[in-house]
Amino acid sequence: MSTSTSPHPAPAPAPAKTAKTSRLRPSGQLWTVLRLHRTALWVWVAFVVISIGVLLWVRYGSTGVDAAATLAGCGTAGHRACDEWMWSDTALVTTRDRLLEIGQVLRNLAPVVAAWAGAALIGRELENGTAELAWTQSVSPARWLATKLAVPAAFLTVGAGVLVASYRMLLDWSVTHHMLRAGYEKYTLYFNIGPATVAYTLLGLAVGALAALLLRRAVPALVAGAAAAWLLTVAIAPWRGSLWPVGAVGDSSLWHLPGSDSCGGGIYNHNLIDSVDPCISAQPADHYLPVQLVETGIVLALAAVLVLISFRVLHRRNA
Amino acid sequence: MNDTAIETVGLGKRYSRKRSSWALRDCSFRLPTGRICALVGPNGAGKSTLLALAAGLLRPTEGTVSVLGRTPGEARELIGYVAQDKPLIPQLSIADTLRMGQELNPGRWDMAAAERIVAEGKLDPSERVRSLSGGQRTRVALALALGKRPELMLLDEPMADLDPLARHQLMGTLMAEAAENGTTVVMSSHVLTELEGSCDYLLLVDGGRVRLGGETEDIVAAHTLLTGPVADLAPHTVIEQRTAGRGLTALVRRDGPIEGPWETAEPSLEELLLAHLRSPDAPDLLTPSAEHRTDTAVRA
Repeated sequence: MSTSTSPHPAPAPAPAKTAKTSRLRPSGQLWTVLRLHRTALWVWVAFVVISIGVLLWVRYGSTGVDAAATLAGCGTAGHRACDEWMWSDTALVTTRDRLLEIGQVLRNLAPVVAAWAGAALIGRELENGTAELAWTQSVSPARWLATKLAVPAAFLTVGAGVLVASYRMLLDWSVTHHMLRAGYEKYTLYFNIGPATVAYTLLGLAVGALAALLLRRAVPALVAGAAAAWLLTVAIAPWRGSLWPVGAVGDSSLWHLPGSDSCGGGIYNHNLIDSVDPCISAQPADHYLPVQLVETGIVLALAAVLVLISFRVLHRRNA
Repeated sequence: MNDTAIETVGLGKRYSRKRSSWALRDCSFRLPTGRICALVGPNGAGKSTLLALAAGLLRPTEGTVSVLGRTPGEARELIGYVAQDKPLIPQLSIADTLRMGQELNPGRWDMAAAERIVAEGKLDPSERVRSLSGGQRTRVALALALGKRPELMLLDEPMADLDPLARHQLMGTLMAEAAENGTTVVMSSHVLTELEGSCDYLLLVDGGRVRLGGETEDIVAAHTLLTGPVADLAPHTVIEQRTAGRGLTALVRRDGPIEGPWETAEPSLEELLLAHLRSPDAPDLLTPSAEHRTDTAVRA
């Protein structure tokens, strides 16, 4: 960075021009990554915006409004019990299905990100030699990979973070209106409304990058990256419920549903009632954050290990 | 001031662990700066491997390579490299491709020079790379490599797939840029005539090692083409000989003046190279300037 504090008048006008352009615009390798993956990054931004539109539509669309109206005042004197309409009201069932479907989409971002990272971000560049083009344009392979990972990671973190926060707000709304029922269906919901979902998308990025560096070809890396990321998320899922010590079912401070003590029964409320998954074991509500953070930590650590291996693989093959 | 562009000591590269798969083995030579060097050899001789090692794209399996007194990785900013298949990013326009060069080479990039090379080919900067012909791609790839003002240009088969006119134009552009900046240039080819007029230094790579290295003139001058009666050619080193009846044609590396009943002539460079390629057992020849000086080049 050149400064204008020198006592001597600047001989050339050029530094002022570069300072002006470099302060506001991305430059160097950052510019290259943004330019090269412009389409993919726009697709991701569009996905986040459209998803938020869908969340708003679920809540403020006519079906969501009808579902909320059906349950208005339930459980209080003069109204029906909250679970009476649970399976019979079309608007309620549709809204609940949509909530679960959105959760499924969030849950499965990692394989999609891995496929993209394997194919377009790294694999294609290694396959057609444009990675080497960058390395002979004064960018060391390590810095090349670092920027290649950091830029998408920033986009993924912000985008997935916004999505998770929005989804959480939607779930809070549905809980307030007694729309969710305790049991199998909230398994996905519960785990998708915290930072772990963001961590999984970053894990997908790391898996795809490593697959590309090992295979060095776009299509095989796409397939292997997506498959590995999907397997990893599936493999971690069963352990999530047991990441934190569980309490005993029946303890009054733990999982307790009015009118029901069986798995799959009753109204679910992740704020007031309390469980991670009553079908597996009971967890009080204040366990939510520790469980999420432990899961997030494990997933991020796994991603970090994969990134480290990626740098090793790159280093071993290239000077 | 460092006067060595490339120096290798015992350099070897093996792509897989199979014993027979050395692409380059026990390769030691030195290339002084300021030369235009032809890197010649048959297909699969190890030319591309040698260039990729010097460009810091591959890690040597054994031995060392140094570029401008540094490891290839440290010399990255000083090296221009154009790979055989001229990789460029297809979705970028020519202007964006040059912009990328500028972004990746802060402080070194000469946009005017790069744009001039593109303009000489009558290319529209807004055109996308994917729609360019082979010759146009080569021109853009050269502009990208020359725009960073390299001290060493490594070009892997730069003129393959080009028609003679485009080849002539691009070679002219390249030589003008190299002369203007004192750039050392290494160009590989399996077609010698492509390079003969422009190069003053020669490296013959064959079977994974450097068999001839040095100033083209000196290498040619060290050899003599003999025709005449069959007789003992000692003490000269016979590279290749053919007998027809009582007549003999031989290419020898001289050891002292030629004395005998032979007609002598200076071989053409092509005759010299072909004779060496046909005789894998002929001893290697490195002129003094091409001998490596240090026991180990800078560790890569």
